[in-house]
Amino acid sequence: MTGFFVVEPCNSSGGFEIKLRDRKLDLARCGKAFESIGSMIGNTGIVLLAKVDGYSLSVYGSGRIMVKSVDKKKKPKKADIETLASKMMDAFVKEGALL
Amino acid sequence: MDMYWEKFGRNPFTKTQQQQIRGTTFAIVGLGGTGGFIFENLLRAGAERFVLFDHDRFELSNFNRQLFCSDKTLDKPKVSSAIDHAKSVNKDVRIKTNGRFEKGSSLRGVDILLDGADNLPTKLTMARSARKEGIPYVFCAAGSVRGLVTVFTRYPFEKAFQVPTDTDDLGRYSVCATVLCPAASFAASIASSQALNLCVGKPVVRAPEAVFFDLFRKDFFWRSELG
Repeated sequence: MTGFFVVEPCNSSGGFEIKLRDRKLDLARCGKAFESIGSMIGNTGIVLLAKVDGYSLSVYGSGRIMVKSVDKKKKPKKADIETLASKMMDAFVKEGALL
Repeated sequence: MDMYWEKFGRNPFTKTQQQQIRGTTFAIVGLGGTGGFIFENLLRAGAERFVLFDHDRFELSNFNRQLFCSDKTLDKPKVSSAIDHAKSVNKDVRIKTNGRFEKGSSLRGVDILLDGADNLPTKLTMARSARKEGIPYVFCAAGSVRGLVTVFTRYPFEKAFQVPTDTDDLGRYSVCATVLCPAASFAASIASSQALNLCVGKPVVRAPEAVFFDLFRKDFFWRSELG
């Protein structure tokens, strides 16, 4: 599943960015996927906000997912974000959210 | 119909100076907090030739300070959002677009390089590329309520900022930015005015001298030497 995405640090937020390779996301289906692995906060149709495993996520239809730790004192590690990304991709595939 | 002079004739320049601005090619690296305002200022000054570098898209955390970020442009590429806006101000504007600015990125035809980047490695690459091309590099940085602007022509960037010799180590100098919009726009206003001064032959603050500001201070800007 790791071939789907890359994880890069985000300079401006101090978090990480997960970028899908040549894939986009169906946010409505992503919302269903988050029901099984975390919780959805809201979906504007352009951006979906969710929480999974102590991380706050902003998910965009273009295939970008911005990740920040809910606990601001905790700095996320790249390996943890890669594990999180794999978990999300599995859920997205199950719901047909990858376009 | 050419409405250039009706639109931009009220700038405080002679016709010759305005033509110089119109004919200058400005490259801007980064169209976020500072770069967006730099682009807007130069556009309103009547600049018509741009080379823009940005690989990113707008996201929620950009709303607090990035000029072209709105509900309409969320998740859209920053470059295309800037172009759409520019065309609504001046349909004759000519813009070349590129992705991320990297070592080897072309500055062919560029007269002045302006800095809207948010990290030291990119700024160092810009400084070296500008030096190689023999063009001025207008350095611009904003963080929190503070900022710093200067123009590099001959003075080495590496000396000004005491850049470590191991440039592979520069990644850790990346900025984790909390920036107030007035700080981004103020830094951008100084930077764009320096670029315009270069165009029309007015004085600029050249490195190692730099303009510093801190919007929380009563005397909120001053000049000092880098390095």
